[in-house]
Amino acid sequence: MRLDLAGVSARIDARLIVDDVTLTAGPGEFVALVGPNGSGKSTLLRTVYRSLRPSAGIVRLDGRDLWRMRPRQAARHRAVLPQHGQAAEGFTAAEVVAAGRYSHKRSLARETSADRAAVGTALDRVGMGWAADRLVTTLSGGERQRVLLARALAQEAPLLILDEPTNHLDVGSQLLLLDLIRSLGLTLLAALHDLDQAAAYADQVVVLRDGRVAGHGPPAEVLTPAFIEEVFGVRAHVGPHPLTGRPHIAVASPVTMPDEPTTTT
Amino acid sequence: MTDTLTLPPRTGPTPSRRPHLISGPATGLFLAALLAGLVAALVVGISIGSVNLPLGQVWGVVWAHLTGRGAQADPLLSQVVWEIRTPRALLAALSGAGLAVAGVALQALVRNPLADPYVLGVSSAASLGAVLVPALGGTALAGAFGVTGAAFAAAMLSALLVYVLSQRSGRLLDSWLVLTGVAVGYLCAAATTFIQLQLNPGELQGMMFWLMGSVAGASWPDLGVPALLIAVCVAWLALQVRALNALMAGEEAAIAIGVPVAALRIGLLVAGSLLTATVVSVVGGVGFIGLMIPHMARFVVGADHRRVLPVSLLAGAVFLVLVDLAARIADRPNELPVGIFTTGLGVPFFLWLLRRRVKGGGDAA
Repeated sequence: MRLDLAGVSARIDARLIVDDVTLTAGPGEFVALVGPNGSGKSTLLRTVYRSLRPSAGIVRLDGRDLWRMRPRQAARHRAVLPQHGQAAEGFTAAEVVAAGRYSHKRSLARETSADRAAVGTALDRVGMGWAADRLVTTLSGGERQRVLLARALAQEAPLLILDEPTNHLDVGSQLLLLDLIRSLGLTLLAALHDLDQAAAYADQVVVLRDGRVAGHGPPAEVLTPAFIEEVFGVRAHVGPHPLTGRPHIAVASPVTMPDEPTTTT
Repeated sequence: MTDTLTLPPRTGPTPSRRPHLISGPATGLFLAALLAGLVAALVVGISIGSVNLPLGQVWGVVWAHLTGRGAQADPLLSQVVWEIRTPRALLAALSGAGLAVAGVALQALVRNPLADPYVLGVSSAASLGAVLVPALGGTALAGAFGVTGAAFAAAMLSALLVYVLSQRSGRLLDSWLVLTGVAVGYLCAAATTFIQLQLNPGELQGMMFWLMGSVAGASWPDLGVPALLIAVCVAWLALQVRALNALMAGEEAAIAIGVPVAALRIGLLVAGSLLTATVVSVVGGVGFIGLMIPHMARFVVGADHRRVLPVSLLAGAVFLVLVDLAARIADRPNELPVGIFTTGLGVPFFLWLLRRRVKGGGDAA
């Protein structure tokens, strides 16, 4: 599944939030969207998961206009892990994940063995098979996030959109989640807060600033110390990760933190 | 990529327990029990009144009319049972079912378990529409609409107003919807009070009774329109149960899953208003059923609308049949408005259920 955004602009209350963004995610490619708060990452993603219609430009999936598809058809092409994933009260984890099968079902059709298998597989894959019959409200924040990811996986769509998927997760869960989504073979478009994670996991990064693309390309080419300082206002060190050898970005405040620990007398 | 990773499982701290009081195959049995309970409540409701009739004779008359054969011993008995009490009991069942399902629709619409036809102002608007007709006397407008039509028109108008005022850049804000609904509801209630003050005392007596709700005086012709409208709304909702489940996870999640959210919400608003207006225009203001019954359903079978919808439908019907029974026998030979009983019986039971649930699971819906 190939995702193309061509000249996409988006407005909220007539205010231009996303301005003429063009980007491409090839089949199986992981594209990370990074940028400071308010740079338009979430708003741009909303145009891809059809919650906000672009004021200009076009979103294409394998060349077809996403906004001209019917809702169920669109859902069979792209799944979403939203930023503010809510756990509705009174639902078990399996019932939440089963909602992801909506686009594969007719209104009155009974659940088939294929549906149940998809739900079970998705829950197992995120390590939550044990929680199938638990109420989601009894699970921890990290566990709920896994259940919501399982719902997106049960949709069986070739494109997965993630809006800050590692929010609210402990550091181990963050890395496991990124490893997992990378291993799925899906086309991925994810807004990420953590530059280091974007550099380590993404094939391409797109840097947004004030709703415009400030830079895009492979992380090693785009995320240079000078560019990071220009966009994010922090000092940065870029080098191979001491443990993994992947690109590694360490950042520091430009003003308040001294280079070396100092002692005062 | 060939190998897909699997996250290592996190085992839970406690052994798995049944998520809902009733789940799995037991749900079908529970629905059957509710249906049997409804039939029993109807028969009991028909047999008890100003004169108590033996259950056997009541059943005999009903059976004779349903099958078109059997001995019709006593014409007077037959008339009391079939022409007076049966339509009344059926109207109570229809109204209870309609209000409970309206609650399901409106709670899903705003994803707020506090929503009901009263919170969204629909009930108050329907009442206003209904009192406007006698207040306007025999004017052409009132004559053309009738009480039911006027109640429905007012309910839809207020629902539309609330819906439009709750939009912000193309998105429906749940919190605004509730606030706007409450405000419009107060406005309608004030207007209704003003109109009541203009009426003479004789009219006022009847109107007060009507505003508190009553199924007295029901006849067979009264049942047709509500039955049809409620059937249509329930059938439409039955087609939307999966979408309703998805909607409970949030607007954006529902869109991502493939639910046509905007169309669904308009449909829910229309269905909720139509159900409320239909019931309010026939039996007056009966509070609390729309709020309470769906909650009770969720306590018992969980929040999945595939189960909440049929359970609410049947439980609402049983509840109002029993409430009407209580309203008739509490102060014989006088009848009390059912609204007093839905609230008077409903609130303590609801609070008890809520407290018990919080103590037991810590996951009150």
